[in-house]
Amino acid sequence: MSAVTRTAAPPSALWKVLASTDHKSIGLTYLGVGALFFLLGGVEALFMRTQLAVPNNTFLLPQTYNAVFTLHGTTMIFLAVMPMLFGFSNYLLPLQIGAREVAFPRLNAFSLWITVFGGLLMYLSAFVGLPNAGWFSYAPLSERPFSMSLGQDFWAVSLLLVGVGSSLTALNLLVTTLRYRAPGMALRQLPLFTWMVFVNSVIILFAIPALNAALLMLEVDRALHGLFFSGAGTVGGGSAVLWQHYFWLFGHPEVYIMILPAWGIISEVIPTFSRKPIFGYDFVAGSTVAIAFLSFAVYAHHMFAVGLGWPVNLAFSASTMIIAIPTGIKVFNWVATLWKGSIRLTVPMMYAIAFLVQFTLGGVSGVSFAALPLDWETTDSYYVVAHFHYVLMGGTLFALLSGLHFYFPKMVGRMMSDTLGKVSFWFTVLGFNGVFLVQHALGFMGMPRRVYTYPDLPGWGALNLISSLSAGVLALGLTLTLWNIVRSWRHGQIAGDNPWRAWTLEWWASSPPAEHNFTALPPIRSRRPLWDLYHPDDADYNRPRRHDKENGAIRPEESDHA
Amino acid sequence: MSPASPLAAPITTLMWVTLALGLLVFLVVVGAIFLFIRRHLHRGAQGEPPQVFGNAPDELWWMGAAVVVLAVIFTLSVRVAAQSSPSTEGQTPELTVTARQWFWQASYPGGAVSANEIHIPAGRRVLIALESGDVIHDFWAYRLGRKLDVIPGQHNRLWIEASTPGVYQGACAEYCGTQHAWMRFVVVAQTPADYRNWLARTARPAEESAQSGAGARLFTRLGCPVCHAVGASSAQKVGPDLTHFGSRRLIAGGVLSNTPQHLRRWLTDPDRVKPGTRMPQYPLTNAELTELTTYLEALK
Amino acid sequence: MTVQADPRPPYPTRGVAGPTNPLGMAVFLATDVVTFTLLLVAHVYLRRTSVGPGQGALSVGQELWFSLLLWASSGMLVLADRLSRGGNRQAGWLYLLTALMGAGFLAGQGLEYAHLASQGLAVDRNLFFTGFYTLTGLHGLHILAGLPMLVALGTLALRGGLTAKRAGAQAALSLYWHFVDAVWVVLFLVLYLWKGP
Repeated sequence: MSAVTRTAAPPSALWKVLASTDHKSIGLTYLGVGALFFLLGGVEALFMRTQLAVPNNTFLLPQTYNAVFTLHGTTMIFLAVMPMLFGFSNYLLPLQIGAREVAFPRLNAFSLWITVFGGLLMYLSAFVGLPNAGWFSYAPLSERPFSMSLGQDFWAVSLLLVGVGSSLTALNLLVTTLRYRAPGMALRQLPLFTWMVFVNSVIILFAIPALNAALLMLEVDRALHGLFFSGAGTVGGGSAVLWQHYFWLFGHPEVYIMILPAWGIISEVIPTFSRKPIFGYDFVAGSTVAIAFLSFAVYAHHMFAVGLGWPVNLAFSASTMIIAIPTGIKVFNWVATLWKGSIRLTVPMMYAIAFLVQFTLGGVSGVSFAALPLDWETTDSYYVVAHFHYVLMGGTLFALLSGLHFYFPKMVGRMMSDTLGKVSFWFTVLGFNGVFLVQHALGFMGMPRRVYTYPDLPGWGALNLISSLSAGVLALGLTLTLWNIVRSWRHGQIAGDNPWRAWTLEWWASSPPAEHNFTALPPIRSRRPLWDLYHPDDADYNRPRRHDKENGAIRPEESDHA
Repeated sequence: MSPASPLAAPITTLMWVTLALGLLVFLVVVGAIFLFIRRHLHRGAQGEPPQVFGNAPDELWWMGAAVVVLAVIFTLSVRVAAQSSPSTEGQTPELTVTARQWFWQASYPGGAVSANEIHIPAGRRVLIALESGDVIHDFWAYRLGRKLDVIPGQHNRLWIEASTPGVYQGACAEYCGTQHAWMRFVVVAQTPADYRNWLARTARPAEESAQSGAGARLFTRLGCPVCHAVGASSAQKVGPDLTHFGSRRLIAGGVLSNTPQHLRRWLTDPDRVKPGTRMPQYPLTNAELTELTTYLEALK
Repeated sequence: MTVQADPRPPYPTRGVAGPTNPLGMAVFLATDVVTFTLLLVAHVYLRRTSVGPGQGALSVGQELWFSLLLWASSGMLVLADRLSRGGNRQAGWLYLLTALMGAGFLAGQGLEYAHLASQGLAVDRNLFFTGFYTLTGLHGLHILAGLPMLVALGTLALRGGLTAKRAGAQAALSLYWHFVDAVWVVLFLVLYLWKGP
């Protein structure tokens, strides 16, 4: 007879999520929290597009509209996109380097929850008056007496908290990459997603302090009547433009912070579904380092209309032109990866292709901003709104969707519905382009941004209506994806360890991975350990590296494809 | 998009050139993508395709081409920048435009003042001094030249020019608070002769007949002069100058055009027309509204 | 479900071996360098157009003594680390003494603030003082955050808890304290001594 033993009740599922220091659980929580805020940000966008559907609309008061667009920008950037990117980073980085955890698991949990708390604080401001100075909150509009509501202070404190979370996450991922790579994995053999996250961590660590400094100075002004940014124009007053310098010193690197992990996802997806390695790994990896440095050297292109003077304007125009090169080189390499591949148009691949097209379009419109006179014409108009949505939504969000469909099987152990995925894709692509393509034209026609309504000038109403109606289509597409997630979570087809037959270490772990990720690892002698495992007679580490274009390196079975 | 100025025209041309180049790049990239997908779509072949790792010379060729294209655009852009934003060093501004939440006001040589519209002589460059009374705004008359921020404490100067006489749209292009959307204005470009006449007329107070009468008395009794100057010259008050209100095209940052019915609507409930406006709502009887409207519209 | 506190895998890893805490702390301190630098740059830029009393109103002499106390605490910390590495539990007293010296510095800050406030020179007085209080305030908060860490180290040492396993955390905390003291060198120079551009 067994003695009666007293056992504690097993922890509930909720407690497991709240108390976890497991990078996979934390990663999933980031993804969930980010998705939730993305929904909020999306609803805000729908409100905005409804108000803008027709000229002189009275659906929303300007006070409401201005708070909504402030929240929309802040939410999408800090509470939706960044957490979702951290979600993927947290989940995948240790797996890709063959580690069992990140370097500081409890710090990781702290970073997650301080971010969540910051997000809650942002929306708790509803009780005291929502912030409404825009997501970049220029002084002196953000100062008293122009913004008296406490909401502006909630905004600042919320971002300080979220910023701390981001910095600590970056710190964690950086140290993990430096110290916990499995034997055989040199830094130059990191999978590109890990490489991008690693370089991104450095950008984050240098950019967030600039935001912190600016926010601290703003709060000293607002709460303690300091003079940093207020009193501009009076004797002994501060400098309103100083806010812009510090904010954009953070703000421009921030947009790269939001795209680098996306580039990482694309750099995993496209090779996998072209069935060949990324074209020009060294150039993709090296150009990323160049971008990390350059991103701090281009920031004042957000201030071309301020009147900073010729030398400053020209310098930043030149640097902004230059940064187009390392960016474009990646596009070249992704496209070259398709060449002579064996392309499978799975849902993640479709999103990745859409990314390529849309990000290129956004990049092209970005180059027009590097040219001073073109910037003078288009900045603060709907043309810039179109530009940044093409790179951030058509770019980063589509990369996130690609990553979602690609990694869902690994994270959950089940496949997402292919049919639903394809239907959602088409609604999303058509909706997205419908919303934002016409906005380029609206900018040319003189429509400023951040306006709650507009006069009935020729063409303005029609184009805005197209944009607003397309927003509905886009919303439908994204909702279908959400439904796909919910359904596939319990009812998707069982995935197996490597449903895509990919080649990096995360696909060696089970789906989902065990608690400590790996019990044993395959030997790591190249950038594609699983390729080496599956093709021992033709391992990567035996292949010539460059000029491997045509003859000599084709195996017999490859002739089917040649 | 349709420039009306030798300052704006080069920008539009450069825009077309850059967009054309950009479109070319875009089409090449997208063309390659779709071509490769079509040619290399998996149609049942066994095994894996050639594992190509890269080609450094190709990368360098591409980078070289990109550098050339960017250098061309950069060089052109510097030229166009100089053309569309000529130096303002040592030049005296012809008129001063002051931006306040949420209207524009201009003061001219000789003492003329106008609000919600800015008059310039057509056919030559005009240098404007941009001053802010509160937060950062941005002056954007999109067919007449570039935009430039209006920053408290920073004395920005802007050249604008209209090739031919006409009325040109303008807007504030830096978010400046609740009614940023209705901080619009028009630039009225006149023939040099018309401009001179307008300056002279506007520098004088409005016609005598308008100044007397029930409306004028009501205007003073209600305290309107506290915020709105009528006839007094350079005093910059919280609200727009109303000296020649009757001759103007727009009310309240362009939210309404200037007609007696619109003015009546505005005075009845300003916050309904332009929510968040600083203009208070006065309880006025119908008779008072008529008196006030008549008075203001007579200020020509 | 156990909380995994030691993330190191059972096989040797590719990077440099050894505790990761000092590296993590060094990375964090790098971000602090950026923050302090930007605040300093803003202060130096803005104080050129400051109106009214500025550096002249500060008590340089008095602050120098307290600064020496703070920098001496770094020396005390080095001593404490050496002793504790040798296995000596009494090193704990030296950690506590370091914390005391840090607290003394903060008291000196308080004296300075009180002296300035009595002359009406608060954070809202002019551009110089907005920057002065922001920089010294942020630095003071860093010192304040270090005090409980030093007390914890000292107490642990006295109890024999500073084992080899904790060497990483110990090194990280020492790095933090030395950094904060080094920042004060720059702040003291720029705020108290350098007359400005």
